[in-house]
Amino acid sequence: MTASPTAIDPAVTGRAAALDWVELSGYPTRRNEAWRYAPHKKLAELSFGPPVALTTSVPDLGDLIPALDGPRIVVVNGVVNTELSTMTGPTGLHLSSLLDARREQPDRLAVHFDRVKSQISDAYMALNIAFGGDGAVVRVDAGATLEVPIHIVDVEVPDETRNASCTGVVIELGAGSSATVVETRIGVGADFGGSNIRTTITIADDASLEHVLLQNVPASHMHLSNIDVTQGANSKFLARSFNLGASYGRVAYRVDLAGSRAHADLSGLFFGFGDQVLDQQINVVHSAKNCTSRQTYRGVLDDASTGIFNGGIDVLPGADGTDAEQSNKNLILSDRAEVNTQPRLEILADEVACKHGATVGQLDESAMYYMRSRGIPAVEARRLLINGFADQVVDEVSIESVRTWINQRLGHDDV
Amino acid sequence: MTAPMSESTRTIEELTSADYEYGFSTDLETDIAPPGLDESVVRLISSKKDEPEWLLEWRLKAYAAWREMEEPDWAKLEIAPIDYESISYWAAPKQKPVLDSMDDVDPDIREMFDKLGIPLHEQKMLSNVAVDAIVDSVSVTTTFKATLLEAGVIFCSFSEAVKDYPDLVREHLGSVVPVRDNFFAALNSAVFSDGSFCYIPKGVRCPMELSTYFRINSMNTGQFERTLIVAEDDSHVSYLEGCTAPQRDENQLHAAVVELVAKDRAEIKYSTVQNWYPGDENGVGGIYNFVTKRGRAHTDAKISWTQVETGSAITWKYPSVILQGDRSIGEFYSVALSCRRQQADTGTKMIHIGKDTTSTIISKGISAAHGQNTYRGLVKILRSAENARNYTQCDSLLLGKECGAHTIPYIEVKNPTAQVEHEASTSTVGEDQLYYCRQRGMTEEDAMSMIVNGFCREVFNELPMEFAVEAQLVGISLEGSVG
Repeated sequence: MTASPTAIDPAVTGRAAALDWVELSGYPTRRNEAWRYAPHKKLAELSFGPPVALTTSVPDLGDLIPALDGPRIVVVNGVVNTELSTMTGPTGLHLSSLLDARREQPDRLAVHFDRVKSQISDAYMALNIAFGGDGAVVRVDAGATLEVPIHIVDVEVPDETRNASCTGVVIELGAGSSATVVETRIGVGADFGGSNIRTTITIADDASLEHVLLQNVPASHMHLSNIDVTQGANSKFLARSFNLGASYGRVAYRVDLAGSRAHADLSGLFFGFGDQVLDQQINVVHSAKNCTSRQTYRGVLDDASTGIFNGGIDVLPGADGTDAEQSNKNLILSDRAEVNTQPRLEILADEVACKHGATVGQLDESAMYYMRSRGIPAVEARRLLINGFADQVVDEVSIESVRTWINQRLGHDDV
Repeated sequence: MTAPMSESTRTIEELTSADYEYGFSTDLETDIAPPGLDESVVRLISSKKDEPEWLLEWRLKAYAAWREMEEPDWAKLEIAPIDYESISYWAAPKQKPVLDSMDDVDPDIREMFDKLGIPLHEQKMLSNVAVDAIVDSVSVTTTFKATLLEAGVIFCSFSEAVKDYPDLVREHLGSVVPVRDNFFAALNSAVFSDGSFCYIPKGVRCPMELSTYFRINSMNTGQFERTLIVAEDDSHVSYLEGCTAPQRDENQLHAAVVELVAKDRAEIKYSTVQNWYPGDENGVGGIYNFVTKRGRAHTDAKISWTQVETGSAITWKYPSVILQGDRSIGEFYSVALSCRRQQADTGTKMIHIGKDTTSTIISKGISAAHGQNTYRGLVKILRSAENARNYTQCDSLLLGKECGAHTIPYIEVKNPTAQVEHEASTSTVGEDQLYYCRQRGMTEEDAMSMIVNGFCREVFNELPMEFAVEAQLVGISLEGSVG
């Protein structure tokens, strides 16, 4: 960490402050609840700093990403690639690179990056603020209804610097607007590397956003993502995450239901093979009255993989009329796999109805028997059962081409 | 028209506003060590109790470990810093002659128990319960010893056990909760004053429920009990622990350790009603209760914890079961009530090691006034635990705007054959529920009481009959619950 963060953008004092935060508070350890099961040794091998531009040619994205026509921003190793991006879109949509946006409208963007000490959750978030250069900005005008999904692609091609690129994504929805954003994170090569991507989302009153996160970087990478959402009154946020790649794949959401009657619906699938560690950290904070939230997470763990679900529902004082629920179900397919689930409820208000449930189990023996007794081979029966389990989440995605992409990754040829 | 509710039915509101009835202090002449803790205090306690060398060594080892440990801060508790140097680590009623019968018991002490509603002399006749009464740190009297001895059951104070059954104590002491287990367990191991020891021989079904009343009495005296229960193969025992402490303004520290050993096919049922002084409505005073309770279940053994936690300003307590033997069973039933400014961080740990092990967790938390109630539990299925099963249900009830209810479970599974289910809910008493009851002629208070009792019923059902009185002490009457 030799480079000075202010060299990237001296106008932003927040960078230096964020780096001070890291100096002061250090890196997370097993004692931090949100990092309890993370592979800390491996994480320590990553280095963080200003983006290291790609020296080789950009890989062919072709089959790596879902087939979505329309506006898209492609970020390669932390830098926007304008050739691969399509910045134009329907009326009401404004797309730009983060670097440009911060140069042109520093004040407007400041709200996404100026964080006081207490708002920084961990060292990796601080490093993202300190070193994050480029990324994507999606702005939707008030009242606009966008039919085409907006695609943000992050491509990681690591080199010997082992630099984890710090990228920022900003999504702002004006009052009464609606949009769908798909963030696809991929990479190439078998070299060790990582990405540290921070997405900040503001959804104004009565607006509605579907946000799909597809994480499928190579198994030699580590992937850290942090999604910070603030919702206005009557707004709707649908989060769909598919945490599939990386040796350590982390998807962390913090959703603040700040306006009354807002609704957040988060669902996700994590499907681990090999020795992957797939970590979901979900925090839904009810700070206004009469909000509703739902969390549905499914984990499938094969080989020696580890699945982590730490989902919280926080109901702050005064958030009366809260209705929140959470469900996490996990399938363990191998005797070396492992699941750690922690469904939390922290309630400081009256008139609330909250519930959560978590299960860990294996494939249903009787269902297996039923299928085999009807001539379906064991391998096929197993696959059908796993697919059926995963589909509980996959089916929640509204875009067909994204569902197809996920199913291909999961080996559902029959879909 | 529904019959009027029994007079003994008390409401939560009464409960939360009622003064602590047991806040008196009996003036016993007490022998107190000066405040502070160092090696000489550990030696003093050991010599006062005339302990063998090995036990002193064990205490010193624990003390050395404690010196290096840090006070845990992970619990959801806001605690003013505890000054361990201001606490006196030894207090004993002055030496009295050895007593032959109940009549010889100090009248002051007998009166104190009378105020608690558990007169010893009556207890002896009316109930079939042996009581090992502890006032501060030393056992005053032990009843029913003879009856128990006939069955071969040893039930005595810890000090007596050290003298009379040193081999048994030495073999099992610290075998479930090692001295370095945690900060408070280490502290207890260094300075524990007394407690209970219980040994059930092979194949014996203990003829009666065993019971201990803990009573914190002296000002500024930490209480450091140590309980050890050993159930040999094929034996069975049910143990009751009840606690009440007099009203004090200064916080009193309580750090107990309970160890249970259930050998092959043995069964231990351990029930607690904890009703210590919770502090006043401004959070002044009250007991700080940091307890380490753990059992080890061998093959086909069963350990069951039932607790009703309504007292103490701070409760930090996680009765746990190590399911070591194949087919062993662990159970945890809990009602925790926090009102005034009470804070409770309590739950359980079920560690599945053996094959076909089963655990059940039922936790009911009630928060009222400014109370903060946290369920914190761990269910851990190790790789070796083939076909392990766990079912967890934690429900929280919120009665008021200023209180809080939190559920923080940890589920760690390393075996694909495990079936683990966790369910939790947090809710308030619904207007419609109250309306329904009131429509049928109940007062709002009666209705509330009934709903709360219904909420806790699954746990109350697990309490032994002997605790019916205690459950009234708790303030949540059992009589109000629908059958």
